[in-house]
Amino acid sequence: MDITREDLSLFLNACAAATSQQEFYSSEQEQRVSLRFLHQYICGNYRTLYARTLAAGLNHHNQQEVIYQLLSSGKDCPAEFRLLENRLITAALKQLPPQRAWKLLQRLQGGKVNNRRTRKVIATFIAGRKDLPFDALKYRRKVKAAMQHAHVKPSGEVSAFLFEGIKKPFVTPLLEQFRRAHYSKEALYDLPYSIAEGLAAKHQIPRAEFLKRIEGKMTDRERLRLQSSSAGKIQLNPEKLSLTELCVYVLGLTLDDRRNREEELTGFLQRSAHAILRQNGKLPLPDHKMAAILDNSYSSSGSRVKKNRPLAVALSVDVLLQNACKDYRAFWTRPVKKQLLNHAKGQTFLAERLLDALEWGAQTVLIVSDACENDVPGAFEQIYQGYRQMGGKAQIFHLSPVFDAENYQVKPLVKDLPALGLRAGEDLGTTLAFARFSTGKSTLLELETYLQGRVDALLSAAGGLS
Amino acid sequence: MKINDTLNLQGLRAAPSQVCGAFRLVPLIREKPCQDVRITHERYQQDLSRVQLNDGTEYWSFIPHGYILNWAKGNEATISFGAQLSKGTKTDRFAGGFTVTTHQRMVKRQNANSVRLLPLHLSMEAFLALYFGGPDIAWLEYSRFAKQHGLGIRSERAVSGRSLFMFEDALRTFEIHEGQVGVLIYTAEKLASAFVVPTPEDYRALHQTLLDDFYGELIYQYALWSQAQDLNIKLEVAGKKTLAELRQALHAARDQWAEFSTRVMGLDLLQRNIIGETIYKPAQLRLERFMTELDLNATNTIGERLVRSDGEVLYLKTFQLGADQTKRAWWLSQLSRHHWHIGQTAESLNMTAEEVVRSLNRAGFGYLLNPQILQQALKKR
Repeated sequence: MDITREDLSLFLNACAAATSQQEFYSSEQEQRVSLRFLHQYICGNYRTLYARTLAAGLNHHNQQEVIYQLLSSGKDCPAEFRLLENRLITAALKQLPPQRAWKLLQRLQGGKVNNRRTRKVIATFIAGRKDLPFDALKYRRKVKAAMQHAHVKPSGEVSAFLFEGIKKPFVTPLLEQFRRAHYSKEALYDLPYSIAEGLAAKHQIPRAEFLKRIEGKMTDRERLRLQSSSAGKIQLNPEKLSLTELCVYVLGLTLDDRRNREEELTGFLQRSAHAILRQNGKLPLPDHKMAAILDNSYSSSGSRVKKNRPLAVALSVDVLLQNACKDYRAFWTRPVKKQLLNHAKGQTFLAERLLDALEWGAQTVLIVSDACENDVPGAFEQIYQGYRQMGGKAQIFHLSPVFDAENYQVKPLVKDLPALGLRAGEDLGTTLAFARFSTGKSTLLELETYLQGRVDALLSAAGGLS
Repeated sequence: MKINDTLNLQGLRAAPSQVCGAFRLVPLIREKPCQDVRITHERYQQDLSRVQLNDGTEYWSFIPHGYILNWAKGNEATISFGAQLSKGTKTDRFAGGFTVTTHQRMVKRQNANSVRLLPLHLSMEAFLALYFGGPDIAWLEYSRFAKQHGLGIRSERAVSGRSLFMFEDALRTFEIHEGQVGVLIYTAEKLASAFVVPTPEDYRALHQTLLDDFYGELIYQYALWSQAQDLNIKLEVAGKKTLAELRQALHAARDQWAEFSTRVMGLDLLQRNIIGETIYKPAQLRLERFMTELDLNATNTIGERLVRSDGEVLYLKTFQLGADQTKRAWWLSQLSRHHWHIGQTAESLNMTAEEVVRSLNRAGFGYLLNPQILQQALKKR
């Protein structure tokens, strides 16, 4: 029974940080293979619990993976669990962001996962889409693949658009705009930004002119993406971004930019932190001296695809704790004068910072680091043990934003101090609450009850579809 | 070859190492910041370089980059920086896009207070030119070629940093320390190369160029070992009562580690006796190239360094010789010591003349010997 609990908390924990993307210390391939193995292992051994983790707040990438695993191994599903599993899959698929959901359906075609249940799931998903013409435009190839794969052919114009092309005029406004935009530059600006972008290239419209006229049609996320390439011409409304995204944005600015816009940027971060605290309630942390050891060594610069992500997570935790705790101090591995001016540089220097924090009198210490320490390697663990032998009582948590592909888990700093995967600062509350499962203080029953609670919430949110 | 000295890291302090694959990189930090000397690099795009040396000899190699060494004259606080003239460097284009650059000399003065030098090639050239003249007395044992041309065209092979397994990853994931000016590169726990520059800014700029340099073939083999050992250091934490005591233990461990990684693990290179020559004397400094005293039972190294008169190392770059390369140099030095007389050489080594001839042949110097003598020696075996 204990192994079950251990395996599951390891899995949930790893899923909190892992995304199958290139990390500083491992390639995309290593991450993908390792994570996929973990999924297959858990799916094969603990299927019923595995299906229920769909409701446990996994990140979207891992939800996709869970759904794929479940659908491709339908045979192994116990008969009495089948109904619930189907409902879970349907509900989770519906909640995925559309691009991820469609991509998953396309992957099912590529992986030749085709059975009655899969076809039914796809058909239900397509039937439940609110704006199918939009999906058909934006994810044309994926939607087509999903429909072919599940033998679904919706009657009407979407079908004509996907399978026959844009020869004849449409009645559906969006499809008609798209058709007209093929022939006229002006009609282009009626389309959503992401769809118009490709056509703008076709009509050879200069980028600057296109961006200026299409600005009204952009979503917030598109604005964020375009910040750097448009040289600040596109206005961004940071209030709508999550705290960690905001931190990534701030860290992407040059140091001069950050110095000049200090007041404004600090304001953004503070407001975002307040919003999280308002929404999620108090952090599950006792009310005493809090310290955070935050890793801004060179490895926190992440990789090409996850630029500055680990540092952004550390920064978001810093901002959040600043606003949540009365008596709080941050200890960056390489001290910085101003929180905003952080950048990834230098070696990982954790042991000494732990002593600094304890000397300051911290009773709870949060460490945000990828656990690859090198000054001196292995010193943290020994200092930690020495502190415990000394009778030190401070609570210490280790949070890691990076999944360690080699060990199938989030790398711990100390063997008996399990590391918790942390994907974003705003998940801090949930992660700390989850620490109870990981540190072995709870039973499997408790974990199951917790999962059941989340399952009920998910299913009721999905409107009880069967 | 005049200077007799030992190879040391005066003025530098080692920090805890970082490991990736078979590579262990030990950062070196300068104790007192260097204000008056800087090194930058200039890149060359050609396929092959030809260096014209003083006496009409030529040195051919692939040379990806050269260093520009700047120093302050006298009491000037700043050093001129940025505008460098590349006089004496000319690129020819041959059919098929094959390019050759001609450099004048290994170390070429650029203006009053800067020189251009070709890193590693500076010392490699000296190594190749060792006892280049061949026999000084026309002994019967030598071939006509040896009597006319000496050693002829000497060549050695080396491996590019790019072909070392995981070296690129090791350099990419290496977390450069604040104030770091150099690095010791260990492969499979054996000191393979040392690299030191004057200031931390220079080091940051030159860190990635380590990949373009060349390394000994042994390092290529060692890199395939892929796993460095787990050399975790033990902290004296048992029985400590206060946080201050724990901190002391940490600092002690850091010092101990630095001591270990330079003194104990670097035995093959550091503290070894060297022989070398001074190439250039900018201001109060000495630019030297050197070779460790040849020892057939140890790894031998050639390299170049820039030192202050008080012994502080400002620039250091080394290349580890392979066993065969050491052997070739060793045989040449033995022959030279006995005026290239094979009989006398054999006597001093307690060998027969035939054995010496066979060894020379094995080392790759068969072409120097009279074919008949060589054949006789091989037959007698």
